[in-house]
Amino acid sequence: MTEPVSACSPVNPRPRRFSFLATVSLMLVLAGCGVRPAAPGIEAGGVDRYGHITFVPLIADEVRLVWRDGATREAGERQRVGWKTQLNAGQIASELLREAGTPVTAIEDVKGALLGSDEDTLWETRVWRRLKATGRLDPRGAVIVLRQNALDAQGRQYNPARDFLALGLVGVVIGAATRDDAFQPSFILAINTGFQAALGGKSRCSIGFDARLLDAKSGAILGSVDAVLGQELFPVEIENKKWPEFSADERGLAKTYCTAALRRGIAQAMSELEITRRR
Amino acid sequence: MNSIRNGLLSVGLLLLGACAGVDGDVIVAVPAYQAQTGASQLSAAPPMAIKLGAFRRQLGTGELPGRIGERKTIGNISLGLVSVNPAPGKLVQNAFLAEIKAAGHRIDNSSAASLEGKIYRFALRTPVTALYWDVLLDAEISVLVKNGSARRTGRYSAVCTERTYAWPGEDIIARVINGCLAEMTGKFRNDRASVRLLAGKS
Repeated sequence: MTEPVSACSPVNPRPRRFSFLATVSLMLVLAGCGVRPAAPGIEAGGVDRYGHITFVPLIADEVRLVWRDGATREAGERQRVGWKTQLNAGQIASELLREAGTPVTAIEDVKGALLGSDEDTLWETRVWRRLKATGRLDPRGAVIVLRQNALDAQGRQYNPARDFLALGLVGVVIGAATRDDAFQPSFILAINTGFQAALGGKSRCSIGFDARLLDAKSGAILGSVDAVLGQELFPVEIENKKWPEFSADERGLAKTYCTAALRRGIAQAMSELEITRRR
Repeated sequence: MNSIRNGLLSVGLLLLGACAGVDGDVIVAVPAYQAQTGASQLSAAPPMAIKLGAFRRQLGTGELPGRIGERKTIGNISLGLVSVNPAPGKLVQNAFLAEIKAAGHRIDNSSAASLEGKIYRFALRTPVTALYWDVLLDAEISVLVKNGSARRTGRYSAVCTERTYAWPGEDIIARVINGCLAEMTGKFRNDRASVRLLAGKS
């Protein structure tokens, strides 16, 4: 004969599950849920909304490595990589919008608009004016401008105050990176080893940018989204070494996953700007 | 008690969704495909040597070879992207390899009879309701059969779903993938014209 088991009986693990779930939830919140997750992008089946898109990616073809082992963090200098990142960004935009039937013209060489200061809030208008003045703006449809941001190792937009706090808390070792490097936009390749790999997860490549959608004819801002993050995890361990010491295969791997991060970020920006509409 | 548990679970899932980011991404290790045992046009053909080529999948700029889709939860919230290992091209090739061998034939890279293919779709979604997830794979391949100068292309597709009231986990995803591989290879095994061409009876 069996006896009913009370809910609080040791054989019933439910209360433990509650506390486990609550603990996990709290840890997730504390672990940085303020960081917007990198979602995959535009909905399948969306249709054209603007007729034509002029796509202007203001993105540097550079990568910066950050090494973390849980106790220390070291940041490297920016390295030119020759990945044709702007060209790739244009192709990605075109591929993402092909299914929706939106033709895309990518313009990769708008000079002088990338490194505007933080106070410069009119960067998108400056790009639009420059395109219009040089007769390169297709007056149909809309213009998307992406301006790359400087990121920290977690893929968050670089914040000097937070960085200062991190210095005090974990005894960060600043390596070859200068303050100038930290403020300059580039891909961030965060190599996690040791305790950091267990705590912070796999090594990852991140890219971040602000995106604006403008009316091609008037220059009016139709949509804006800040701090879009494109991030990809490396499925394999990356050795803890400097960029010049990377083998051709390792550089190829970095290129593959950083370009995938770029695709993810562009898709996310397009999703948030609502470039397509539902059928 | 159940309602409290479900409530907490929902909040947990929503938090997981909101915080997942790339750390919610998953790489599903798909177990080796098991060939079907039923009789088919392929198993009825006399033993033959077949050259098995690659199954190619066209990738866009920055698309990862193994990536097949995304898991979502209520509110269209992403739980992260899903990749498979091996990548779809290799999975399909391995399934054809297993089926050819199980049907009593052998692989010979110098054979005049060959097959190779393309992957048009291999897309995973997880439509969700308040009660359950459907793990859904929509796949389509084409197989080019050649024997000397004769050639034939067949297209085979499958949409496979498994419903879960708990969690769209890796084991379910792997089962759905292998189910679709079985369905597509099953259509090929019973494609009389393709099998006849392989056997040199075009």
